[in-house]
Amino acid sequence: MENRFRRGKSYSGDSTRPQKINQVSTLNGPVARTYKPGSIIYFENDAHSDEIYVLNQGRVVLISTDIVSGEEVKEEVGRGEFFGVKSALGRYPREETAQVVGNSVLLVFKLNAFEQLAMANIPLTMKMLKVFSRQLRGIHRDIRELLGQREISMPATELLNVGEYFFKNNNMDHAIYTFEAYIRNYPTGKFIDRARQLLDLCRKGAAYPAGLQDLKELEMEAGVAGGYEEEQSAVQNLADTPSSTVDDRTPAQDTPQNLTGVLYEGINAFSRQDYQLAAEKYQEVLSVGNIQPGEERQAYEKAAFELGRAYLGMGQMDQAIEALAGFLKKFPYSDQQNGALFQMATIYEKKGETQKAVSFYKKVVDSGRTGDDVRKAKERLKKLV
Amino acid sequence: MLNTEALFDKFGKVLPSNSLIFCEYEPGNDFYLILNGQVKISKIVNDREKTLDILEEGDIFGEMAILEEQPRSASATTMTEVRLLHFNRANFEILMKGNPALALKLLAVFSKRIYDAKRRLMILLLPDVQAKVADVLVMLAEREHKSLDEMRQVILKGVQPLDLANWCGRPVDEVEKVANGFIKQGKLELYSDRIVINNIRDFQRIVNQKRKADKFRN
Repeated sequence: MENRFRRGKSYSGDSTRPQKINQVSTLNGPVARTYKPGSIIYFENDAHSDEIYVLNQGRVVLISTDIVSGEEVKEEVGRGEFFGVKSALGRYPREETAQVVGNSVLLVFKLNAFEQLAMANIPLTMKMLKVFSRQLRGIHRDIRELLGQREISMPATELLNVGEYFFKNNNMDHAIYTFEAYIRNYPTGKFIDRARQLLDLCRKGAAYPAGLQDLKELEMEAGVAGGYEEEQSAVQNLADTPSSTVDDRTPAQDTPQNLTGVLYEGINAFSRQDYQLAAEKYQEVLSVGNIQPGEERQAYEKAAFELGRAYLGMGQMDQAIEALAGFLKKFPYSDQQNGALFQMATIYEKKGETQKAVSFYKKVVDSGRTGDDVRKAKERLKKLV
Repeated sequence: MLNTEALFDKFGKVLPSNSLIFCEYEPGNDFYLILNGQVKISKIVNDREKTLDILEEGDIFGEMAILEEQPRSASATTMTEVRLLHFNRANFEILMKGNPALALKLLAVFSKRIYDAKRRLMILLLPDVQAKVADVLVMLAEREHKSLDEMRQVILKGVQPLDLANWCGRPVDEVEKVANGFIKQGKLELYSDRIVINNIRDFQRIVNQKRKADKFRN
């Protein structure tokens, strides 16, 4: 597997430029320190240190071992970028070796000076939080992959199951809370009647009904019968292969013109290369206000992403960029973020705006995620830079 | 530091003991900061409730909700009367601006979480169960002690074979077999409430050898 973790280097962006840092951290740092070429700033596995660095002049590379592939990974630190942040903040050993390549000047923050800076510069801290969270998600995804787990596929059923566990154990308050949560979040859920019935019994202080068929068994039967899992991210599962599976997965007849249905019509149109109709259908989804959590929201998110692709199909590059940028803004935590960033990069490349294309490919690579988009972005960067 | 009292009017909540703050698998947008009291983080595993952590004043939980729309991975229940602040994605940025100390605290929480998650990944990537179990023991020892350099014997309180199995991502009987092997060799002692590692070096050696061999193969 390819490298997927950026270590130490935790943020890159304009607001970390050193001159800004100097302005807000005059009380106790940072200190400028010069290094000769080849010097080691710290080694991988060095014990916890409270120093955090910003490259001011020169060149620094971070050398780490990729956890998954075991390969050595070298990354160059950009000017004005922080490194050594996570290990200092999290109080654990260094995760990479930091080596100076040319004559360099670093700004060195002690932990407390960095803390002052982080508190004085909230936009910077927010950006770091976002980078960290993306990295964390990437690692969690790898863990799930190794454990052979998919995303939680049936959260609604699992939620109900937890409620039933509470009920069976006479924990009525918690059971009531959980059944109410199910009903509130999944009002059209497959087991809505069961949830209502159990909630009613709980409120009356009755016992868990003997002979009630086990929920997991029911779920399996429904699965075997090809039942439509209402809360499962059917939309998510469609992923990027709309043409092959859409018809098989069309929701059951009792869920007619809901958002997911309209989305499917759009995806079907897209697969027939009727981009105009696809765009209209996606816009129809997006025009609905008051989106409910769960399936509707997933449909909304998917439509926002697909709209960009539909414009692209029509050759309307500027509209595509606008739509994709809208998607990125609206769903900053979407699994499709990299997909959208990659699309934008390719559009800019097609338009001949290489600098912008490079910047978007870099965003994909720096996302801390894995997958085809990251691999392809790396390939494009090699050719463009 | 954090001006919590001013925030309490707007974002505060008092919950009696044994209240469910959120339930495993429930969709959620809020995250919480405990001002007073204790909160239990638990999960239903094989029809039994398993306590994962007990949190106290100053602890943050549910923070993944700020970042992604995934259902809750565990339940949070009050163990005493609890005063807490609750925030969501919408008011997160305003909150951070008004309370830089909280932003900093979150940054540290995420740094730690990333390290823990990477450590977990390293365990899962080891080629066999024996090495996995050994590395779980090393990891748990690292959590107990700042540095293992001067250590030989390490006692892990409250750890059971089921916990080892969960960390390894392997069935408990498989993990027990490996643990029994270590016990026979005198490397490990297993009690109902603790695990005694007689010499942590034994386990570090097993892990390092496996990692080196694996690296060589690659």
